[in-house]
Amino acid sequence: MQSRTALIGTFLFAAGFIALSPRGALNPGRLTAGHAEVANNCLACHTLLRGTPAAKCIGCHPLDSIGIQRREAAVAAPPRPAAAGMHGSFAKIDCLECHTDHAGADPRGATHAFSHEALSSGVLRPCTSCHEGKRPADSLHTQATLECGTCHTTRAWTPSTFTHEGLNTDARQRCSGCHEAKLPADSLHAQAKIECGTCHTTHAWTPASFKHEALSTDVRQRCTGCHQTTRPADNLHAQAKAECGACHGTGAWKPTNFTHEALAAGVLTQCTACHEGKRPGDTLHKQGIGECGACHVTRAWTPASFKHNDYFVLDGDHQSRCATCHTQPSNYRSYTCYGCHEHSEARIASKHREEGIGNFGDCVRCHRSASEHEGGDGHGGGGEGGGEHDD
Amino acid sequence: MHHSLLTRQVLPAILGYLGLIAATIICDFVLHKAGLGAIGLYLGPIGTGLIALSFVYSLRKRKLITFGQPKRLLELHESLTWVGSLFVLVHSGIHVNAWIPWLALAAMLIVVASGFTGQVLLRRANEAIKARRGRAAAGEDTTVLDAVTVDFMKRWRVVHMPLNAVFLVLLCAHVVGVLLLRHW
Repeated sequence: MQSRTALIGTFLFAAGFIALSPRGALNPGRLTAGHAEVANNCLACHTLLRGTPAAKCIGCHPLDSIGIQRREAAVAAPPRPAAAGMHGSFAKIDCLECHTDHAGADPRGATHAFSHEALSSGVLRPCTSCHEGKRPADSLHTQATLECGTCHTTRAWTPSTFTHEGLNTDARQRCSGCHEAKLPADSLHAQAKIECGTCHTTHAWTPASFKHEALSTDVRQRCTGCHQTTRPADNLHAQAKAECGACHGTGAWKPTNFTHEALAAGVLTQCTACHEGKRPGDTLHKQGIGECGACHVTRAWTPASFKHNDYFVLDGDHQSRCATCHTQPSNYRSYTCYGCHEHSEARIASKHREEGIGNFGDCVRCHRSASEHEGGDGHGGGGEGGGEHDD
Repeated sequence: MHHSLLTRQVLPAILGYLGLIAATIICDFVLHKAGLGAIGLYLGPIGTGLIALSFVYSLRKRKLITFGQPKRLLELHESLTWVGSLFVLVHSGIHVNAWIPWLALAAMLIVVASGFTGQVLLRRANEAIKARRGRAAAGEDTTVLDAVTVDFMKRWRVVHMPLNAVFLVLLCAHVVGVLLLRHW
């Protein structure tokens, strides 16, 4: 009994509510401002049991005028001519597939979100026919002549599937056309006149396949133009006037093909300027004898060309300081045997004259050692009366 | 005794009701977060169908059908109405628009609350019956106890069934309105 009463009572209430205020009872949401004039007339758009036929929408909004002509509306919106072509192209017109005017005109409130699949292929491309003015103004997009769909999907602008292969050859080869501010400010790139693609790939800036061969001859020969701070601060490099390439390859700093011939003549004779601290600490070298090159070659320290025994055998009493005989510093070709108690000039002269030897100024011509019996015409020969014996 | 009644009978009912609200909020959030809010549209008819299916129990109680165990059908009734109500709640979301569907929703919530109340009363009745059997076995007169138990359930039905009727009418008004005007 109570149930029946509740049933009938509620029915009467609901029926009365709907009859008196159908909008309040059934309206699922506020209408857009443009439809405010029909807000109290559900059947202006709805047909009982058939919902909202497209014909009713089109009755007020002819397809070819959508986006061009706007009906009287509380809220004016800028015309969108591209939208006209789009709506006229639909194979199946069902306005509510995308639009709903209850709960506002916001497409996000639509029961069914707009899908590009509903568009015919003729309207689907080019994208800009609807998305006019949406092409980004950056260098990439202003140069790209491809259709948006080559990289972007209809679902979202990003993520995109951009590949450089999609660009035409001309645009692809002019990297700086898009990557205009990407050129590093270092000296290498400032001087490089070649296209980025010569060294870099479109996938990533690094690893780069840079080769010096790609540089112009002029740039390639001026190593310090790029490698300005890489010249070592040692003596060798401080004095070297030759270009780096004279010794170093472009592949790596080492190994080098350094040759002393590359040095200036003035530098070449100053071995210790580079090889400082390399002078051996033995008796011979400690005495500050002349330039290294007098005995050594630039190729290697040994074998050294100097052999004192070839000139005079330093044995016995002759193992003395170099300066004892070589009285002129730095000129070890000059020597004197005088100055010792045995070799007084007067005595030597007397003895040689006794033997009939007049040319005895260059002792080692005949005396190559301290041997008592050495003498004769000597290696130099030509002695004017070179003696057979020595005392 | 009071503590036992609260924990064994009342608390589960309260939790069941609050759980329904919590589940609604979670489902609604997840669907909107996943961009599947439109699914809510279809959850209304599905939830309504589940609730309608749960009334097999009522048919069995009134002997309009004879299959199925009443106890099992009651459990099914409880489960289906809970899930069905959840679907209807998610379907409604928080979009306050037309009055009829919102009144229908309010009526449904009241009916569900009433259902949980009936669940508590039924468990108390079952315990009372068990106690009566014990006293009868001991030679006590249990007539008064029987009368009190039956009276509780009768009084509840006097409230629960009219609430169902109100819900049914408002639901039908909503459905008819949709059928008449909605674009399919």
